[in-house]
This record gives sequence, structure tokens and C-alpha cells, in this order.
Amino acid sequence: MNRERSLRASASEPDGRGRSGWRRRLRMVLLSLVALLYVFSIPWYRASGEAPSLIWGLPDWVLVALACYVTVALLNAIAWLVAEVPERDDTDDGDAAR
Amino acid sequence: MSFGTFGVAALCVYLGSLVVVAVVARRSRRDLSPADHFLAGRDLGVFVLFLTLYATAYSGNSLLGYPGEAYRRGFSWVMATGFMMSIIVVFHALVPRLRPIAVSFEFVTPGDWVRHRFGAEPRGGALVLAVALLMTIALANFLFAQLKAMGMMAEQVTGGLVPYEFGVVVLAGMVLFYETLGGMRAVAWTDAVQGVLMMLGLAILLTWLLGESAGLGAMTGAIREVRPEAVAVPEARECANWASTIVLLGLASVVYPQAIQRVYAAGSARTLRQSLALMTFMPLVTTLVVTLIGLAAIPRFRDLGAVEADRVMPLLLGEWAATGPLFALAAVLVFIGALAAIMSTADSVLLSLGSQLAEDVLGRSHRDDATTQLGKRIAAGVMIAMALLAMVARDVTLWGLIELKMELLIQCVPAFLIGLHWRGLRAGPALVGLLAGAALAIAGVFLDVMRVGGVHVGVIGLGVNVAIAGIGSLWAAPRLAQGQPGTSPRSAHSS
Repeated sequence: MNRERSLRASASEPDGRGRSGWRRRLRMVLLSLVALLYVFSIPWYRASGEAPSLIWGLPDWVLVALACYVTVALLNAIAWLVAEVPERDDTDDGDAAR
Repeated sequence: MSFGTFGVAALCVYLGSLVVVAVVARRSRRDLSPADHFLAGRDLGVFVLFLTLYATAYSGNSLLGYPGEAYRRGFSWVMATGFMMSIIVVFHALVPRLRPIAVSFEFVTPGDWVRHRFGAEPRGGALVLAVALLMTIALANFLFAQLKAMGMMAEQVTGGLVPYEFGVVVLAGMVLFYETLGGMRAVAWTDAVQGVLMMLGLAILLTWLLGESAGLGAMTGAIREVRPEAVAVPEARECANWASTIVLLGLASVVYPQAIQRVYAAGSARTLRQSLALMTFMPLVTTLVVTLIGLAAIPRFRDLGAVEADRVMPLLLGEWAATGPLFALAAVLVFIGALAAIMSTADSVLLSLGSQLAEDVLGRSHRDDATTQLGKRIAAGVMIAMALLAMVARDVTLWGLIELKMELLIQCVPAFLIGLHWRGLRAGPALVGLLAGAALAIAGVFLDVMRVGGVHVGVIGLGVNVAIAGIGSLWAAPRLAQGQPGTSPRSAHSS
């Protein structure tokens, strides 16, 4: 039964108990932005084989990709700092998994 | 003093420092339990955890394979910075759910989660075994790649005084020595030393390269002159491959057994979050740097073959070392940093292999001290086998090895990521999906079809895998509700 409760907690209940809803929402917004940045980091919207102009010594499409990745790093770091990772499984009362 | 002599002296100092760290780690152990040996007593702090995550994530593949791939593909290899970062992004789907359960139920191996989640169901045991075997194959492949890179580095750093084969044997022996002596504690502490050396080496190398190339603009101009397609906007197929590689690496890397074991080994959840927040920046100071190194090699070495391209970093360092004794010393430092990166990955892989084979494949308990000894013996056997293989099979590209490993590893993703988030996932469909995905990936290797329209066969295999696992589990749900015998987790658990 304990194992069942633990599985339920891990697989169906949201992280935390609703006390820090804003943290979860902020994290979801940040991760959604990260996903968008990944989409725009790939130059699928440019003509294949096109000779790029150089900005700061790099091809423009490379600079766009790098700008996306720098922003991803910042947003993802914030997402980790606001993430809720419980120290232990709350439903655990000492029963072993096996 | 010649470059080779500098190299031998530096190598001896470096290896000597590893012995000291291993002995100190051995004295710090608390008991003989698998948790103490394989997870350092679950007590890693932010600094050590961050550096061990860093040194483990950036390996011989990153330091030799990635410059080689940048040399082959050109600027589109900036994708590597993105896919290395995607690993830390995808960890959001794993860590917050897995970590508390792992602590509560004292997990040691990734298989402990699969056993906990699916073990009571019909075919749960088979799923545990299949996941363990797939991870073992991927890890053995990874270890082989590290040993190959170690031999290459030892040969280069000593200017040929230490031959490739001798380098493989000596360095493999050293990794085995400190891993056996001090377990995860020795591995994590040596990783910390190795991580600092790697960062130092890359910083020196980048400074030199940009100075030599008269800045980024001049370097890009020289590349455009020699190989215009390396600078041009990539074709649609390359863009598809870019997206596919982000998916492949991002998903597969989070189920790296050594990464999962570091999630278990963190001293606290806060420590883990802070380490991961720091890790997200590391592709910018590591992957991007090695990409620039590979790009800088394009105008310098014009006609390197596919396998030979993995040597661009050693070739650049050799060229640098030839310009004067001070530069030779700096080049040796970079070489040692790169070697440190490779060894730090090899030790983590070896530790995971030992624990996983002992527990998940041979079924020993993670609470039994004898499992620690068995894990050590298995690790020794695997290391010897892979070292022998690395000595005879040199003509394989490092990136080719990474792709193969990832395409197998990614098939384990549903058992972890979907299993953590969807209670409806059942062991039987998850097992069938995993086998189908792996079969597709292996067929791709045998038929020499690694990508379809730029998308990795392993990623397509994952799609098939997820579809089978998902549809199969949904189909099983009504049967569960009706309480048919053999389909309920609870009934299976009690039986």
C-alpha cells in the first residue's frame, strides 16, 4: 500500500502542495520560453546555402543561435533556482521499495 | 626540456595527485555498503557535485569528438552548444519527481526506479532487465570511446614517448585503481580536480586561438575562403538533423546511469538545484570553445579524413607547442586538462557499470555489502575487456560512437520520464515499446541507415516506442478497471 501511495504521489500529483503556485507557474513560463528559443535557434527560416553577413565576426545565423542559447542558459538557471524538489517523498513512511 | 619530456613529467604529477586523492577518499569512507561506495554516502556538496557533473558530462567525446565534428560540418556545429544545454533543460522532467523517491527508498542504480515503479507488474522484471542491458551496452560503448581518447591523448601529450596502446593500459589501470579504492567519493573528488584542470586548459587554448587567428572575423573569413559551405546557412536536411540531435542528446543524456546516480548522490535537493543551475552555463564555456577550436582548424589543416578529424585538437596543440618552451608548457597543461576530462568520464561510467551489472542484471541487493565487492570485480573485468578492444579498434569516429550509444539509450526514456509523470504506463507495453525502438536503432546500424531525412533512426525508434507504450497502456487500462487477473499492479504486487 505504501508503495502504491508513493507511485501515486510521484506520477499523478503536482509538485508541492499548492503553497508555491507562483513558482510552478513561473517555471512553466520559463520552460515554455526555452522551448520557443530552441525552435528559433535553428535557421530553418533562412534560405539554404545563402551566404550570410558577418556580425561580430560570426555568420548572422550563428549569432542568432548563440543569442538563443545564452538566453536559454539564463532562463533555465532561473527555472532551476525556483524549482521545487522535495527532500523526500512525502508519502514515505519507511517502507522499502523491495 | 622537450615537449615530450614536459608531457611525461606533467602526466606523472597529474597521476600522482589522483593517487593522493584516492587514498584520502578511501580513508573517508564510512562503511562498505553499496550506497557509500557507489553514491559517496549521498553526501555530495554543491562544489563537488557541480564539478563532478561537469567533468562527467564533458568527456573525450566533447574534447576530441566535438572539435572533429565542427571541423567536418562547419558553423552548423554550434548546435552542440544547444544540445548540451538541452540536457539540463530536460532534467526538469526527471529530477523533481525522481529525487525525493530515490532518497526515500534509498535507490543506488537507475534500475532501482524501474523496479520500484514496475517491479510488481507482470513483465516488470523483464523491463528492469531490458533497461539495465540497454544501459550497459551504451555505457560499455561510452567507456570504449573514453579509452580510445585516453590513448590518443597520452600519445600526444608525451610527443609519442608513450605509445597509444601503453597509454590505454596505464590510464585504464589508474582509473580502475582509484575507482576501486575510493568509489564514488574518489571519483567525485578526482572529477573536481579534473574539472578545474579542464576549464583552465580550455581558457588557455581559446585565448591562444583567438590571438593566433587575429580575432573571430579573420577566422571566419579564412574558413569562408577555404570552405564556403561551412559558413553558409545550412540546408534543410542539416536543420532537421540539428533538431533531431537536440532531441536525441537532450532526452538520452538524462537517462545516463552516471547522471542519474549523481541525482541520487547529491547531499540535498537544494544542492542539486544549485549545481544544475550552474551546469546550464557550462556549454557556453566548454562546448562553444571546442567548437571554435574545430572551426579554427579548417583553414589550418585542409585535408583531414573523417577519423583523422578527431585529432584536430591534438594537432593544434602540437603546432602551438612547437612555437617555444613556454607555449609547450601551456600546451601540456591543455593536454592534461583534456586527459582529465576523459578520465573523469571513464571513472564515472565504470562505477555505474559495476553497480548496474551487480544489482540490476545479476539481481544483488543494494543493501548488501557483498554487492560492493561484486560491483568492483565486474568493473575490473569490463575495464580489461574494453581496454583490449580500444587497442585493436582505432578506426571509429568518436561522434559515430556517441550517436550509436544515444540511439540505444534514448529507448529507456519512457520508463523514466513517462513512468514518472503518468501512472497509467504499464510494464508490458513499455517493454514492447523499448524492444521495438531498440530493434529499429540496431537495424539502422546494420543497414548503415543512421538518419532518415536528417532525423536519427533512434529518434524515430523513440516515436515508435512511445506510441506502443502509450497505446498499449491505454488499451490495458479498461482491463485493469475490470480487475482481470494478472493485470492489476496491486494483485501482481501481492502475488
